[in-house]
Amino acid sequence: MTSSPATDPRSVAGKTLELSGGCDLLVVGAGPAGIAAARAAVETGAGVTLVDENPVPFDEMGEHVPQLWGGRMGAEIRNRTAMMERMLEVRPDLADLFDLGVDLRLGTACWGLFVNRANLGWMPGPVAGLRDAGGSSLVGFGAAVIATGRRDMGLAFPGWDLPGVIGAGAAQMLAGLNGALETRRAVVLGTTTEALLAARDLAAAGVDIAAIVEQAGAPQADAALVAEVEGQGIPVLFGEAPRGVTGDADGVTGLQLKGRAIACDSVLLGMGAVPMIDLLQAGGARTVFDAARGGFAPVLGPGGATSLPGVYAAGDCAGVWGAKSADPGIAAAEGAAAARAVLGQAAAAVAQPPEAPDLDGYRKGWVRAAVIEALEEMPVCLCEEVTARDILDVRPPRYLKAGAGRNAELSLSDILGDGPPDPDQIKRLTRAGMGPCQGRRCREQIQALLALREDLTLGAIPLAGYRSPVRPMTLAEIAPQREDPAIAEQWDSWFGMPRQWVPFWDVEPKYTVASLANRKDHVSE
Amino acid sequence: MTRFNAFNLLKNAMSGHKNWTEQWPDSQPKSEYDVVIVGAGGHGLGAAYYLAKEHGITNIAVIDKGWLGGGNTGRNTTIIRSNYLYDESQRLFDHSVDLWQGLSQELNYNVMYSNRGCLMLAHTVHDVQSFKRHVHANRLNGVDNRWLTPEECKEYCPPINIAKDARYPVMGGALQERAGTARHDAVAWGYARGAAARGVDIIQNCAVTAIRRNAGGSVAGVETEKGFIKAKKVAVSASGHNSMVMATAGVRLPLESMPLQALVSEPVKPIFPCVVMSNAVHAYCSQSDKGELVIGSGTDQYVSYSQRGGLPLIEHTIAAISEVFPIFNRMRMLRKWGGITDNTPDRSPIIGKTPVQNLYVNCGWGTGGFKATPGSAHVFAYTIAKDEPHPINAPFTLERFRTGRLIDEAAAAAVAH
Repeated sequence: MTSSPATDPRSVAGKTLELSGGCDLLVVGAGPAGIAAARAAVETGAGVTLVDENPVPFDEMGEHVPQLWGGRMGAEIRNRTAMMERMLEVRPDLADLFDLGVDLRLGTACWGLFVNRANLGWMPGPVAGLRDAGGSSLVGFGAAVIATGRRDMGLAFPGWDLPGVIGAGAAQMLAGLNGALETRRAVVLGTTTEALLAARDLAAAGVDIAAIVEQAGAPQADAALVAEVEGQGIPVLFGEAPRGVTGDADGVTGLQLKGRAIACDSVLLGMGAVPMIDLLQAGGARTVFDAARGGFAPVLGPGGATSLPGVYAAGDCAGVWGAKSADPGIAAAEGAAAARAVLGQAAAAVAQPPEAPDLDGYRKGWVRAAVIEALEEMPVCLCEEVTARDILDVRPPRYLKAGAGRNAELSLSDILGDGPPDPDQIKRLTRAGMGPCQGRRCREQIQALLALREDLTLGAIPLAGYRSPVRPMTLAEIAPQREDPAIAEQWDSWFGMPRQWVPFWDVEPKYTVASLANRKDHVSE
Repeated sequence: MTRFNAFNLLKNAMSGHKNWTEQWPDSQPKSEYDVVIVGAGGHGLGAAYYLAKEHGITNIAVIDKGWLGGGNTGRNTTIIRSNYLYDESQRLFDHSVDLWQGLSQELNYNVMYSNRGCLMLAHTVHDVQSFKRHVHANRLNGVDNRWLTPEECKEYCPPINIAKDARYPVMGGALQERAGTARHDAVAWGYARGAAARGVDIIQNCAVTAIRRNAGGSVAGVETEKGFIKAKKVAVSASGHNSMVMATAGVRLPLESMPLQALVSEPVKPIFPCVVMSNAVHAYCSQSDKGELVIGSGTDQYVSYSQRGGLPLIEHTIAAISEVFPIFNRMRMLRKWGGITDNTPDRSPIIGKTPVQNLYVNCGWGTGGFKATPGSAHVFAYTIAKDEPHPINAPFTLERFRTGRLIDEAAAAAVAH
């Protein structure tokens, strides 16, 4: 008699998901912070993998992943190889990392972080979900530095769904990183440092910046920077707000302000640069609203340590503020400090944000000036076509057609209860933020609308949760289809009536129930 | 309260948004209620609604530690069916389907009940035998269910791959045409509106920390984050957290809480006409009215209170879905999430009285509580009001785990539990 195996080879026992490789340090995002972190770590001999989702696949850019691209991408963006070459060209320090032995993966998005916690005990260690043109894979890592950067706040006004309404940061990326911005004449909304820097750089690159528009009476950024862009011949208009756009099949042809109209082919949204915390928050890192750091940002310890063990944040995703946006050296120092912390070296001091600007009043001011004072209704959540009034009134989604009849008399807000309104609750009730753009274009506006309605600060409105995958993925990409052959061939051996009382070691190796399907004696009619 | 319109939005905007009247009244709980219901999901709100409407009890508070409908009510895949094996289950779930038919009219709120049919695919000989047994058992009880050949399955739901060499070959299917889906949030809000209109207090963001008992052992009330609330009767329907709440009253429940996961894809035009379930791999799929594919998975194989859920199971589910419906391979998945299910050993619920006088529990729904919402709430309200079970929920006692009179849908379902 032969000895029986301890576990059934057809069972899933002991067969955790296959990891395709691993690294000591995973760096997500190849901006200044990510590059510095990768460099600092690889120079000590650590195995470093650096991933960056740029160049983003063209069809996903059309759905505003991960930035508000606004349909002003040039045709050359379809050529991914050229875009990768361009990235290495404009970021020579990225090319250097190749020579240092960093496993550099461009065009690779990180869609999920899974760090061992209560319900993830099965994993051999922390795991990241990566996705590139070839599909999805899981990669183990020892530590991670997340440097996913920032994202532009969206702002609704009539016609903001037209091609040509772009995030200011997105436009800067298209012009710099990709060299594929199809904008000739633009109006910039907002006077944040990030907006003015975008205006300055784009003007230097040959884009005609027709005006910078500010709803408030004074600029948000330093007077010196305002003077600098005014010195480039760009007028800055205060006390103005968008009322609508004119457009044709190709998108925006002009911007209508309260008091004047300006011909332009693009409107750049620069009223807010927000840390891109989706990956961290979906992975379980604690976040806090911090006006000094540009909105919801991860709770950080020494070296940029997040609340997830072994996961660090650096660069804009750890906090956006004017001085940092103006000087990439700050982000790079944060990246290097995070790498030092990962390697167990003494923590390096990094620049701290100055006293918080009036983020609350400024962002709410823009939403009030553009969305609430708009002369016609337009969607704030473009994907699901939810207007500001739908959100404030907490109206059921339109496809329910609940507006007609007696339902219209009864507002859901009647029975909403205590505490501040929660965007996750508003999302369920109105569908705002549930569309294919995964809420990137509307979440700050919804936050501001709810705060305005309740007369609360932005920070009093909870963060609408992010969920993995933080980038849309096809089912074919995420389904692994890598099974143990014993499972694949005999997966149903436990289901068969003739075999269910037979110990697994006595089941014939070639037995499968499906193979018996044509034998009538096994099928009871 | 104020009705919003463009004019007063504008007017308030001009005056710096200082003149809004309170829209979200800070409802402080009263010091005493006839009935306190713990858990403002569909089952709890529904019980409050039926208590008020059918039993004349309106001095009720429904208390939730989060906001109403934020737990499993808003996290499930909205499947409604009643094709269970045992007579007791069929009565309970078919009572629910009966109520679903008229729920939108009853609540004057469109819950979008759609009886688009539910097709359960058989992938193995065992599935075939088991499902045919279900079909016979259902038809004997007048519950609609019929057997389809693989070709008939394909005709009923064209996206199904019935190739003989498929990873999970389709050997037939059981179709319940009265089954379907509803919009889950609308169910919670419909019941909440109906109950609130009848005077029920809905107290959100207020965790119940303990159930307090009198010296004689009967229920005295609940300790909450907002202080003690006296109650003549306390009813608990807190899904994944039932066992924790009940433990504070000294009642041990035979429950294990596990995460169950689901995901949605991007919206597309109508392509998927029904609900399809595959019990062998425990994956199920339907298309929402917005056009998203809603895909559900099995419970994680470990006990947890996380509303996220592990990765391996969802990959397993997607692999199966991609195989059964190759047409969906290129659809994009937008997000996944988890809810906490409370599972009994026989995978049937517990609805009824407890060893503590005037304490009632409605729990153990495992992965299938949404479909039962109206029926369960209806008989639970009856049980609370009369202090005796409705004939439909009489078999679903806590006692059955002592006496052994189980309703063993766990073994019957052929689900990869």
